Amino acid sequence: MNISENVGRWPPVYDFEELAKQIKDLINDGSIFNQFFVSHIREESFFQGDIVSLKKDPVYFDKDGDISIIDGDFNYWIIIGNTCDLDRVITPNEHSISPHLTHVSPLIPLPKDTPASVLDNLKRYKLYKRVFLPKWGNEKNDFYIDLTIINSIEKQCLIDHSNIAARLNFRTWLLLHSCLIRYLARDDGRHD
Amino acid sequence: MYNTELCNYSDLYDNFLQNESSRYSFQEMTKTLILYGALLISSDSAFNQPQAQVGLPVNISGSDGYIINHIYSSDAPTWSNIDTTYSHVEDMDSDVSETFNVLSKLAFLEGDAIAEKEADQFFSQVQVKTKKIMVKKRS
Repeated sequence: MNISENVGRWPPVYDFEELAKQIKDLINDGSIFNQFFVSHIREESFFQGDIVSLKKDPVYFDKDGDISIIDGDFNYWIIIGNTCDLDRVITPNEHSISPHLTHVSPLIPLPKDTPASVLDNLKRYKLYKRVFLPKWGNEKNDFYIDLTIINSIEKQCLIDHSNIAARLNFRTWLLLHSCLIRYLARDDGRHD
Repeated sequence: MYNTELCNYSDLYDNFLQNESSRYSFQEMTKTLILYGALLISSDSAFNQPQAQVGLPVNISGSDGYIINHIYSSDAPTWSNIDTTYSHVEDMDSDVSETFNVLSKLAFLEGDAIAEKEADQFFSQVQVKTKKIMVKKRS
């Protein structure tokens, strides 16, 4: 099957076993980290995998059923909502038919004392819940996202209150997309 | 599949009337109407509406041995007119195993349970500060 980075709709991962093998090879030799992000962001539209600057704390329901925040150092978030939903035009009358929310997950700075074995597994994308993201530009720290921490955000908030800090390229988007599928579609261990 | 994606000659005719009529003379319109009529008759679509059928496995009263067949008729204006039928599935086991085969292909980036556990142990030691947000509770 022919695919192109520049033409047509980017396909779902599960149709592309050959490409999956290619990604595996890229991860194994480390070359995927040479150009993890695109060098220039030309458009202002938001896409799945975009990293946006947004200094907010993740929100969740705590053990008491109250709303709490994780009080940390979160300057960046990655958009994990689907690009199709992001791309739809928002008008006040369309809220009921066009989703005006999408999903984001905070980039968590990787602790300096992360054991080498954990770091290696992160970089080889062996972990279900955590996805490694290398530093870019002037950033001094690598990051990871924890897929148990996902927040909803209004698309208009992205438009009005965030900037795109980095954008995945085709292969690294495919890698993120694969990790999302793996996280949500992995086997069920309720009888383990 | 939504009915908006189904192409039929009635839609073409509606579009023709609503969007294009002002651009054609009466003579051209008559010619086109005759052509559409011929197409409708030759294709039998005016008398035999094609049906799209979707089968969704769901639990009914705690049982997983049934499939709901949602039959969509293209002449129905919305999904609210879907007919629903029930049928017992004898070989559900084979269907389930096939589903798991698909899932195993999806998860091509094989995870590693031991690596996961090691990472969980490390990250659980990282201190995470949390605080409650004061919000107005619903009564």
